[in-house]
Amino acid sequence: MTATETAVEAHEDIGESQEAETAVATGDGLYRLIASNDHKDVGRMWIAMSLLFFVALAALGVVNNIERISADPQIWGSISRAFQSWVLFRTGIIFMVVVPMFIGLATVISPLQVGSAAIAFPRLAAASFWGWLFASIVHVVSFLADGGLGPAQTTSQQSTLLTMTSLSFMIIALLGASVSIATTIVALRPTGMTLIEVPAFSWSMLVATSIWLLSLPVLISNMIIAYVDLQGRPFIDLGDPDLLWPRLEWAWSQPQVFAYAIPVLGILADILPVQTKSRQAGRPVLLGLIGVFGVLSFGAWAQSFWSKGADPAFVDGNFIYEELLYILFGLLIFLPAFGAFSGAMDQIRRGSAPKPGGALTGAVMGALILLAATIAGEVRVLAGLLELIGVDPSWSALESDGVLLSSSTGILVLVVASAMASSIGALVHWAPKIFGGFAVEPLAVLGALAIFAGGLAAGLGNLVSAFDGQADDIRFVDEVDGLIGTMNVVSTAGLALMAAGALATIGSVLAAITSKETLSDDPWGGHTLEWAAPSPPPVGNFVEPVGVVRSPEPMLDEIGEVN
Amino acid sequence: MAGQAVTAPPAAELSRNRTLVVGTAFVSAAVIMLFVGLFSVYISIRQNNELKIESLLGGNLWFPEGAVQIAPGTMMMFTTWISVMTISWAVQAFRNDDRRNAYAALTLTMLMGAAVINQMAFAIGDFGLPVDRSTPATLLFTLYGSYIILLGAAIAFVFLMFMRALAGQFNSKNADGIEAAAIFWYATVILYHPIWYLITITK
Repeated sequence: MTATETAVEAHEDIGESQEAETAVATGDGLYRLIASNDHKDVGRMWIAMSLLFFVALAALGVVNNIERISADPQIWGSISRAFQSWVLFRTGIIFMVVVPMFIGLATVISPLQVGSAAIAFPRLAAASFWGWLFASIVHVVSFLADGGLGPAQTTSQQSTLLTMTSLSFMIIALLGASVSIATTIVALRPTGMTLIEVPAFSWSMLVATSIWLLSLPVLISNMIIAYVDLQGRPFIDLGDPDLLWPRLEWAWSQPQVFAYAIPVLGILADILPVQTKSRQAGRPVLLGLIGVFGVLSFGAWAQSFWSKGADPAFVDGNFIYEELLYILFGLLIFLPAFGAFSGAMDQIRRGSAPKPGGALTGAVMGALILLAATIAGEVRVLAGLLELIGVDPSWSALESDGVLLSSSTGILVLVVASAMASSIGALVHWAPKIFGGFAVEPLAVLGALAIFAGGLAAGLGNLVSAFDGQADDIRFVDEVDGLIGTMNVVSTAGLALMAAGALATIGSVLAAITSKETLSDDPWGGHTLEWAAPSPPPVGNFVEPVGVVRSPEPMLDEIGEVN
Repeated sequence: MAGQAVTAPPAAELSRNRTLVVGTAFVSAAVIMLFVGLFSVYISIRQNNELKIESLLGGNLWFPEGAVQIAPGTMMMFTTWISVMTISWAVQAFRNDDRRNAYAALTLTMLMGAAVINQMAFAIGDFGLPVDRSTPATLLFTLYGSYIILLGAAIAFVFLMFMRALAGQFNSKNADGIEAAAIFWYATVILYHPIWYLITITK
């Protein structure tokens, strides 16, 4: 029985709840975008806004890095403003760019990959996008109104409260979309498709959304306490403006930061078998490694707030970085990432030579930077490890209170570059399904390479300057000469390159959107169910209901390919 | 076997895709983690404050003497236990196509929820300290306030399913909505227990 064969007559019964929620997409243009809850429309909007925010926030990152080149803030005029901008880059780049991009990709692709006619809870998916967009705009406005996650210039804390509220609502909206995606993958699979047979990208999104659903509510709980505390005299250091950011920073630091890049491994594992025209070998192991990577990136526990003997006033230097579990997570996370990367790359040896293009370049470059980020994470926990085993390091940067611990920006930038380069690969690969046209390959390759090179320069530049003594927090930057100065210039140039890469990606995608070409259902010889749908898929996705699925590569089964 | 009708065995019955139940399970997990975050901060701060208070005063003070009474908190817990029975009764009644019992059980569940909110409002009033006067007060109001919002959401979920049931949905073959509401309700009840222990028992 093939992938497009109707399973059994009972299909009408099992589709009852699904049909009741079948997407609505009527009208044209702007009306369709606003009124639609068709998952393709909603996903496209997530992707478009994420790319636009990426350009803006990469530009903001350039400005912030220019501020690091000199000891005094030249552009923002005050340390307070520079710090606000520094925090906005962090909150924005994760919750307005990276996570929304993956949510957008999964909103379009995951229902297709599991052979579903619609996403689960389509109205929730649409409401999540609009709620996120509104909260994101309010979030930016709150910073312009002297808010942020630190001491405001004015005595009023109202803008800080607005920053926390908008950030919380952004996360709630992202979690709403996550519920929609995870439920689709778990509950709307066709008959015969077990969880281990779910395509790698959807599997990685199931892992990622599960980790986000379990970790990000803890960040919201931190902000709830801080919000209540800020209403009166702050009693708890969560509500103390000076300590607010250090207490919330775990969500942008190791290991949690890796949770935002889990789908990078899934994208690679979906694209390479298609490119090499071979079935993925050792597939259950590969999916298991992605799962282990997800577990090791769960970082809600890794807060200095809860570390052993932590002082609420944060004055005794009790760092989570010295805890054994933190060190273990930091050391181990490279292994599943490397294993999954190797397993996917092994397809090049097993199958045909892949066609060099935007999909392959983006997916491989993204995974490579993720490996670089996990290696940087390993180096970062060395200080704690040496402290733990009682070795006195000869290099001052490896002292446990040393600046090596202040290297979270470098890892964050590497993770962002990894996610965005990988997303370019995904956008090119699935462009026929997402946009109904082909992306411009040379522009996409250029974009992926620019983000790869820029990300490496910006991330490693930040890491080297941190190792050499520059504080991570822009409020405490005082050393700007020598190697640190050079590295600050390198990382600034890297961020500018990333912004250019984002623009190239937008150009590449615009061509796909405006394409009038008629595409076949499966232009690449894809293996998974999304390639059984027309390009672009209509409302309802599949011309015929998807039947019984017998393997992880139902499209290969259909053509009798047994390689 | 001439003349004997040959019929193929019936197709295997396929399971329904239980999107609402699965989605609710994900949401419940997220809500539980939100409260785990709140509890962890509460325990961490209390531990550190008690260490300080002990070293300064030689005593162990958290809430002022008499501020937290054991009766309202424990009554709330008993009420939540009763509500677990009523929501389970509702699920079972739908499975038996017994709509009259199901409506009664859902109504009682919502009433129990409203009673807990009422008791919690009483406990907050009885506490006697403004929200912004001390660390314990800030944390108590945060925990109780968050829980009231959660319970309100759970009641709204049950109410929505009640309305859908009145409109004719749900039966012995498909009680997904009621089961989903029950899962969320169970999560809500489970989350009250740490609050009861942290505030009512350890004071």
